[in-house]
Amino acid sequence: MQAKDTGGSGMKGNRVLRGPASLRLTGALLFWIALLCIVATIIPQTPYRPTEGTALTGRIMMLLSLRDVFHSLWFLVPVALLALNMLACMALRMRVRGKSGYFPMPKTGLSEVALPADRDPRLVREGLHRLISASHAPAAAGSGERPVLMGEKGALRRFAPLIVHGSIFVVLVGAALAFTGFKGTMEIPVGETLDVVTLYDGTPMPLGFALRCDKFGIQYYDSGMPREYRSDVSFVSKGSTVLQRPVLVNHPVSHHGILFSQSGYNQKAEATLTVKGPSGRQSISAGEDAVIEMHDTGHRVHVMRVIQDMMSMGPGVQLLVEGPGGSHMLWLFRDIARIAERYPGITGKVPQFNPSLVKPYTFVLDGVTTRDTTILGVNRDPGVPFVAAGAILFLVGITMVFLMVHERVWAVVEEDQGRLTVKLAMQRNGKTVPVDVHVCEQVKGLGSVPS
Amino acid sequence: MNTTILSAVTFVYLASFVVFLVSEATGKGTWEKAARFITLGGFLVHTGGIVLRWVESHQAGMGHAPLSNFYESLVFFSWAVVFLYLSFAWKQAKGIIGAFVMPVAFLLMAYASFSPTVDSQIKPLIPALKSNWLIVHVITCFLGYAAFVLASVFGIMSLRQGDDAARTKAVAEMLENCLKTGFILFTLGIVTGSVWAHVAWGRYWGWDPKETWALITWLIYTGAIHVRIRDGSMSRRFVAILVIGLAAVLFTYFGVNYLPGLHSYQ
Repeated sequence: MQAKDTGGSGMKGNRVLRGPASLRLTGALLFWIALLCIVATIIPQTPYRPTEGTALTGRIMMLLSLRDVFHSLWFLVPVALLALNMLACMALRMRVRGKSGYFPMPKTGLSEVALPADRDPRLVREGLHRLISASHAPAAAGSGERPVLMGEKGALRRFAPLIVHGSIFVVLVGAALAFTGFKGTMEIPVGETLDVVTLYDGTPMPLGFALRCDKFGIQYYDSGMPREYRSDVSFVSKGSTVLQRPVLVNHPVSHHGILFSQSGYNQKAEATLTVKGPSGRQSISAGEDAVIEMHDTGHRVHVMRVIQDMMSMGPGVQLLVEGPGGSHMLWLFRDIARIAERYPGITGKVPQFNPSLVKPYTFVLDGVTTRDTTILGVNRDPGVPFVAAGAILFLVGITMVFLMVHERVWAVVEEDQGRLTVKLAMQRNGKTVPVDVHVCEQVKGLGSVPS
Repeated sequence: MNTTILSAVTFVYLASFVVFLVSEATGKGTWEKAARFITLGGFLVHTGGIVLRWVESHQAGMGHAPLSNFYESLVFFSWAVVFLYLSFAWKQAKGIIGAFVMPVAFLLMAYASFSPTVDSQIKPLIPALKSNWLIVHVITCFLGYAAFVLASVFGIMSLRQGDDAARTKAVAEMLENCLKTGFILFTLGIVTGSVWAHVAWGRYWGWDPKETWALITWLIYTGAIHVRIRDGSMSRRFVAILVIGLAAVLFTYFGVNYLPGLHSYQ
């Protein structure tokens, strides 16, 4: 934290670093980032949806990236500047610290202890050395006519602010690396295999291997609240299963650096159809949005809706059949015989209900089943180790900043007309502080010649 | 049972607040001592109530730490405020200082115990909360919140500079301790939350409103620490930042429930 101490107008050090290292810049950047964070929690962030309509407010929001603040230049540039600002502060601190091979005694804020006349300067010096060594690691601080005694402790504390600010830089680097990874989901029906991730912007991405959902289950408490969601997943590579693992909420599975976590589930209705055509009977299972190609006649069947109970008439399916004779909408019911009994001639009155409407085919709905579908979150973020290391470093650094004390003490003996004066100085965490009274008292007793 | 005990604690904290006020008005040591021990007594019962709730949750076959819903978080928040107050200020826990701190603990407990919108029943954990990270994340976050609240309360107190130099110094010292403790614990709270988010949701940071507001709060107190170092004393702007920080803590805790996100209390 004290790296910032040298920031601002009264800063020493390199002129080039002075601007980017200024604390005022830090303050402005932190303020701006905090402000954008507030904006982003007030305006819901829906980065991957197209902005609504052409309304003016919508267009302004799109222009200012207000629906995706955290990926906008408004946000990323200040964060990058903050990283540079911290680097500059650290560099300045290194320069200021790095210069001094020895640490000169402060010129002001000294405590002076006048000794009685009978003291031997050599014994006083020895006494001072003993006194300093008792609590501090002794160090030489200058030589010549007036050798200054010096002691230091907690010297590691000097690096704590560097660790703190450096760690934030490491976290930011890790966060930037997240852009080289991806985030997406996989929705896999039980029993099926999928090798494509749907990224958050909707684009599919091949995974390089496949996942099969062997089982999906929900456990409930007695009260009916869900207790556990569990998917049993097999990882399949080149046709063979390489890994089988359950994926539970709070228990993700990592494979090839990609993290798979249980993120939701769905129930998918699936229709079992029998199609009678020129080349015989064909049985098909299909869910919504499926497209079935009929190769012999060139027809395409789109499954529009699959419904378990269509207006109390039982399971129903809506199909759109495209062919050389045009497009036809069809409604198939499993219980069409019963419906026709109840409403005689319905297939004639409502052609859409006629299973043989599209020649040469007859469609029969055998039934509708539901299949559980697990939704897995799929994330790859190569920055995670950096962020983790940065976080640990930060906690170590901040604990050092708050709990450790770096102390330096100096003592010099001056002789003036036969009288000795000891000048003492003390710095705590780089700030000159007065020397304790009881230390001064101890110094007063030094150097008396044993009688 | 535990809710009855915990709602009784509310009144103990109210009583300690009143006795602190009386001690300030009369300047008598007896009142001061009484207030301190009423607070300590309330705190012990408070602790007992939380432990009992844990035990009762085990007996009900759920067995989770009482840190999982809004009621339990309010109770723990209040506990953390009193715990840190007693730890940092036992010697200084007198007069006006207590009169500033105890209303915070009282109001949190009163809200938990008597608001019709706060459900005090012990409920089983939803799958997302079934993790050991719950305990460490919630404890660090709320101790951090509590330390920040105390730092801000001491900051506000420091504006009211009396003639008592010793008290001014004591308040400054307690403020500093709370700010440092709060910063370390809140950072730990964010870090443990990130680890948990990585495990539960596959990403360590997702700009959920709670995460974003925690970051805002963290940035504000980071600013406060830098301003404190730079100004070297209790400057007005330092106190102003602490007050803004207090607002941010409250919003991170309460306000975010009104925004859509993954951290809403049930």
